[in-house]
Amino acid sequence: MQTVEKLLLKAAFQAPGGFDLYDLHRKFRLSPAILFQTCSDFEQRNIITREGMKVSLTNYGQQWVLTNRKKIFFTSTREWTQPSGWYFDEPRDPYMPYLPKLGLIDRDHFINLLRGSD
Amino acid sequence: MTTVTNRERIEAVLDYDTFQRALLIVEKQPWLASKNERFNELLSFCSQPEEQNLVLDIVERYTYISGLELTRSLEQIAAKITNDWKCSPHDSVVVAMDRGRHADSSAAIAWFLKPILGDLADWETNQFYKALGEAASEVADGGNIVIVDEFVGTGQTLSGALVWLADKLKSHKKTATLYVATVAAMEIAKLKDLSLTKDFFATIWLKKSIQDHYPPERIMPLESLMLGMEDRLLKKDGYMKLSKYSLGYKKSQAAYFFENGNPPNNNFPIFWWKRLADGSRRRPLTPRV
Repeated sequence: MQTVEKLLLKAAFQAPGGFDLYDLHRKFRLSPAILFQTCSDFEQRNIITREGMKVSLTNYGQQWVLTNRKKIFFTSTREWTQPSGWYFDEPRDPYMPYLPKLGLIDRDHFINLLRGSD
Repeated sequence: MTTVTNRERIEAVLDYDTFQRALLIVEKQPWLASKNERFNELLSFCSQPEEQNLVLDIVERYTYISGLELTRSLEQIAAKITNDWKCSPHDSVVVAMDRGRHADSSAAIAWFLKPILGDLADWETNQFYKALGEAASEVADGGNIVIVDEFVGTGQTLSGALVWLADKLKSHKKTATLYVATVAAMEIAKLKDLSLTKDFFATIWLKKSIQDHYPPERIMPLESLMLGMEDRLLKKDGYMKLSKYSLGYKKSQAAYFFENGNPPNNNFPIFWWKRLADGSRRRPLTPRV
């Protein structure tokens, strides 16, 4: 759902008697063409009615907004902002043996340790 | 947090009346919705409400030829050719009003007319030409040449084309009756000497967008207002000088757009000039090459 659609439906839902489209323009600088287009789409679907500058939800529109409240009122989850799952793997028991990834092991680690002990 | 995209928002906050008017105009001129960002940029380009009002006045009376309207126009032209001018495929050719080698909308109109005329009579594809010179050599002596175009502005090109075609016919030692049919034309074209054509038909006649729409006392202040807006455009862009197109070519003050077409230079340059005075690019309402 586009931002302009969410803003329009939120404004209509919060003002049961209707609201003035200019308020959305002034607050969010939404353009006349985009507001007109969005209103027309929702009018065709019988979700809102528009009389000049005044917009209000229809009875069906109120039900529709409630049914779709999740995508209208809540910000969608942006999964890419979350760290990957492997980051939260259970910590290993330090006394349990496990097979490490051999490719990641420094083959000279122990040799270097011995040399260091010389 | 609510993020409004650039596509959805306008740079300038409009006053209540201007916003209300813009909304009504989008309702009246639905093609503006598809040019939302360009329309926003045009409104933001205006520096004062008076400029916005003038721009909205002109946009409100813009003649926009959609695909559906083009169909209607082509049918009217075909009916004119067949019923009124009595041009038949046996004695007539249809030709685009073009003498150059570059792509031109007149050739598109000739092409669009093929199936419509073909539906009315037995027109063949070899009776439609894309260059005037071809018509002169192909028309039968004593026949008809129907010159077609999409738009006639001042009539200067048309007048020149008629003289040129008449000379060509002379050089071929032929006579032919010339007719002109166009989708749209400006009324100022009627002032030109078009006596070489037997009839000149346009499906839409356009007036000057300022001069022919306001009372005399308002014309000069409004033209000055428009010139003030033109001052914010680049004076010379490539080989084109803005002064040549000030208030539209030959001050023709047109407001016309053919859907998906290249708008005429008769339109006010604020609707098609590509650069602002500082040289930066702008997105005009109806871009033009």
